[in-house]
Amino acid sequence: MRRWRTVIGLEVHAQVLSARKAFCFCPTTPSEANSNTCAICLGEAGSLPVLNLDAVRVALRAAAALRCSSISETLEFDRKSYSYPDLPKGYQITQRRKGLGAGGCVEFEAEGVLRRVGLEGAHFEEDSAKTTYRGDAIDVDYNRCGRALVEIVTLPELESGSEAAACAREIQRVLRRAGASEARFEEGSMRVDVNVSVRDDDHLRPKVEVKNLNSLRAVRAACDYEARRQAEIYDAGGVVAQETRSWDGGETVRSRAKGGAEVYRYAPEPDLPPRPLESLVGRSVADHVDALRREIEPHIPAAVRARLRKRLDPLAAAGLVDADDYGRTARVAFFDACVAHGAKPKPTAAWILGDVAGALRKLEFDTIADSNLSPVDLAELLALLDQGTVSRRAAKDLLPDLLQRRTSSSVEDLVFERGLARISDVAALRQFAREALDAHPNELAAYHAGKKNLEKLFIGKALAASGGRADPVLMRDVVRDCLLQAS
Amino acid sequence: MACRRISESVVRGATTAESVVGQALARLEGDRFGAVVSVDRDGAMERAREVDLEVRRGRLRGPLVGVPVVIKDNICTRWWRTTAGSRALADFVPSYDAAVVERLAAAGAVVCAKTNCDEFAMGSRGTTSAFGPTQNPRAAGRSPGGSSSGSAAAVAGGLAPVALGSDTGGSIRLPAAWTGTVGFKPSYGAVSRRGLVAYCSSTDVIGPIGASVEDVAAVFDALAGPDAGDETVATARAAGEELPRTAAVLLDGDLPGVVVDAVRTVASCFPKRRDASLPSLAAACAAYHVCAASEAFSNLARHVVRAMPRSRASWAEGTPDCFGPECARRLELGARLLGERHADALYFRALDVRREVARSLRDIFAHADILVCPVAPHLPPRFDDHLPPADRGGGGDAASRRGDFLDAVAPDLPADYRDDDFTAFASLAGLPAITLPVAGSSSAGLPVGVQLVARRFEDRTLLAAARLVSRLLRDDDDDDDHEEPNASIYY
Ligand SMILES: [Zn+2]
Repeated sequence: MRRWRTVIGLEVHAQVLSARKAFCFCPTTPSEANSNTCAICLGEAGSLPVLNLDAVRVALRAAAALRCSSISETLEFDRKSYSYPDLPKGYQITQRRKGLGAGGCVEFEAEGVLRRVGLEGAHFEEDSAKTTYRGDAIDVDYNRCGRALVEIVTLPELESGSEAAACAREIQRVLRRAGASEARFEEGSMRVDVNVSVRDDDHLRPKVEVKNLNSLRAVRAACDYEARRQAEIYDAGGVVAQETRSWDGGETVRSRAKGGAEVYRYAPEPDLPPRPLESLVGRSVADHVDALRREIEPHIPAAVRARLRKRLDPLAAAGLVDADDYGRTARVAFFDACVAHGAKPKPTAAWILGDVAGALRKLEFDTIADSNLSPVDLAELLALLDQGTVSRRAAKDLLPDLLQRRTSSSVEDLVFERGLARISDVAALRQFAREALDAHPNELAAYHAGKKNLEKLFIGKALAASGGRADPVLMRDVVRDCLLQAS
Repeated sequence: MACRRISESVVRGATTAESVVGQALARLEGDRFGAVVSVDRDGAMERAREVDLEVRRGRLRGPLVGVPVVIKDNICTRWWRTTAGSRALADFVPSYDAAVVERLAAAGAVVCAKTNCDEFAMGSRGTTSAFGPTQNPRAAGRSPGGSSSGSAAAVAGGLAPVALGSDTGGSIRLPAAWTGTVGFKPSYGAVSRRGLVAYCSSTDVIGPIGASVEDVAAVFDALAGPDAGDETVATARAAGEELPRTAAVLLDGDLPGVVVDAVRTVASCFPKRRDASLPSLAAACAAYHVCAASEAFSNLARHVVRAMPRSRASWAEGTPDCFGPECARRLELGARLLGERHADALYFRALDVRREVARSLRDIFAHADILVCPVAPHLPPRFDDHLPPADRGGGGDAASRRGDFLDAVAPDLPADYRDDDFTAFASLAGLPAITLPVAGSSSAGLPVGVQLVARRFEDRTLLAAARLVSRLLRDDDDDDDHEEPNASIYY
């Protein structure tokens, strides 16, 4: 049995954030099937495409965010011909000879390992219509047809399904952070095709394309399945057909719809003459891309993670960066602001990822930025905690108030108003300890009979009686003292 | 002139658009030439009455007010069937008007009928339409030329004063030459193609056919100008209407004597003349056909998608047979050029020839203001006459490369591709070109046309030159008093 290594490349299709379609004036807002259509996107005879410049500008943000090494000076389009009901013109307007940008890379972590995968590039194209099948009938919804897409093609450098999924997830994050796409699988605004092949020591075998994967889970599973399928065929002495397959949730199957390998008969698009990009962005392409990079780079996950790793462990850094996609790295911004207000990085990250995240979830806030908690609040709270003014428990109890609060009083004032300050007065602590002992006479008897480890129980009960406000170290001493006295 | 007379009478109140259009409709309904595919009587009468209303409000001016126009049936008309001469579009009713239809309406012209044409404008003889062939009103039993056969025949046969055609490789100029009319192919990018059923998008141009230079100029003025809906239309309008002084004369190959004489006669109207040659003439024509078939392949794909039932079974079976034989042959050629024969790079070699042609033309126009040449290498042929393929031409490296290219593609080209020998080069280079009839020059009484070509976007210079030539050839300086047979029938 030979050792087969998996080789995977991704083609990510993401709908560009734009109010209009790519080559006509139809809106992109969700609406009733076949209501966002016109002569152009329905491919009516005689209709001509009119390039949506805004969509191109937004797609350029993606190219910049993906660190494409060269951004094209001119926009050129090509026709990709294939015949299917989802493509009313019989061809798709795409960029074959020259995309928006060539090169680039994505950095991500897969199973704890930092990976960097190169990109072939990113290009602009139009989406096809959405087809669904009712028995033999093909239903077509043209609302999606002609929407602007950016297609990102990676080099075949991924080595497993989970790596492929992690890479797709990272591209999704980058697109969202760059403000280029919603990139939601569940809404079809992001779809992934994978090219899977296997190699042994001798050489790389021909690749098989698995199209239209609509979740990260599908990306992972389809890649792994397909690699295994190919290896088994080769091991059995067979030949893997170069074909297009699709994923049915359990296995890859030969695409019935579009058949095997296709000849796309690419040709230049004569209806859209080459257009200098400069005329579209109002300055030199190099200046524009520099400015875009300066604007976007601070939000790009890989860059932020690298920055945070200087002060946090990798897990916390990834936690802050990776969790939310849309709030323009709301957590990172919050973290940075807390630290700027004097909070210590590590406990700040721990609180944001732990208790704050939990409280946000409980109160149904989408992101930290949606709540009323300010970075100053958290910095103050952590300072009070550090000084021992409040206990961990009290600090946690205060969070819901802070997330929802309407007043601007300082956290310290709130702590005292709400009587949450830590209790270190020995007389008061003795009171709680007595209560705990009195409430558990059987356990007390058992303690005196020799079950000394019941001490922990009395300490816990006493702390609870204080509402978590008692200083735990002092309380331990006080409880011990009381137990001695009670004997 | 027919246009101006009609317009002046309508604006003056001597007649009404309704009356002029009514008469035109009657003529169009009596079409004996296979020129007309459909007449929109109710719509045209309604539009005519609107024109009259606007005229009474004093809102319409210009030379096209109340003028009946017929348009080639590959130009989209809202709520009015547009077939492009094909079975594939036999039931196609566009949801919008072509840009040129909007512009004609704005100028007060009234579109009355859609004219027959070779299927999807693929043909030079007026024979490939699904609605039957078009006859030549000026030469019985002979081809009227194509693909704008119906538009030329309608004007030549007196059914309409002016018509719109489309010209991809000669489809306005050739039928104009063979029917003795004036046919103008504007510069590529001067007139919007929005709403023109596409054949070869990089050379397709809409233009007028009429009985006089004045008429086609009036229609061109109405059509030309930027359109946000067509990115290939130039935004700046080229200035200048200077009369050209130096004519380059292009006579090449084996031409009928009357054609040579006609070209010399037209050239003699210019103060200075020089001989010109376009070494890549035959290769240009072949390259044009390669480009056209390649672009047609994707342009016509939508008609197949439209014709297919939305069922998995039928898509699994394959695409329907919805095109006529000539059209199917050219699409199959396009598929091969972009597919299996892509490796031979014929398509890209054609693009090289295209650039070479543009360079040669720049050289010619460096020393001349206007190019005078035949429209076609022969007079209107009988329907079954065909020209032999071109020979390879002379020596030299470039010539040999062109010869190789010709040899490689010749077997794939349409039977009558040499009809486009003298028209294809201007299409490839996007230059404006006009066909002028030279009256009475054929001994057999067959129409003879001569072609004038100018620099790109010097459309108005070209029209001024054509006006000058037609005035000189009429031996009559006062064109206002000149009576043309077509002009008088409308009022
Ligand atoms: Zn649309």
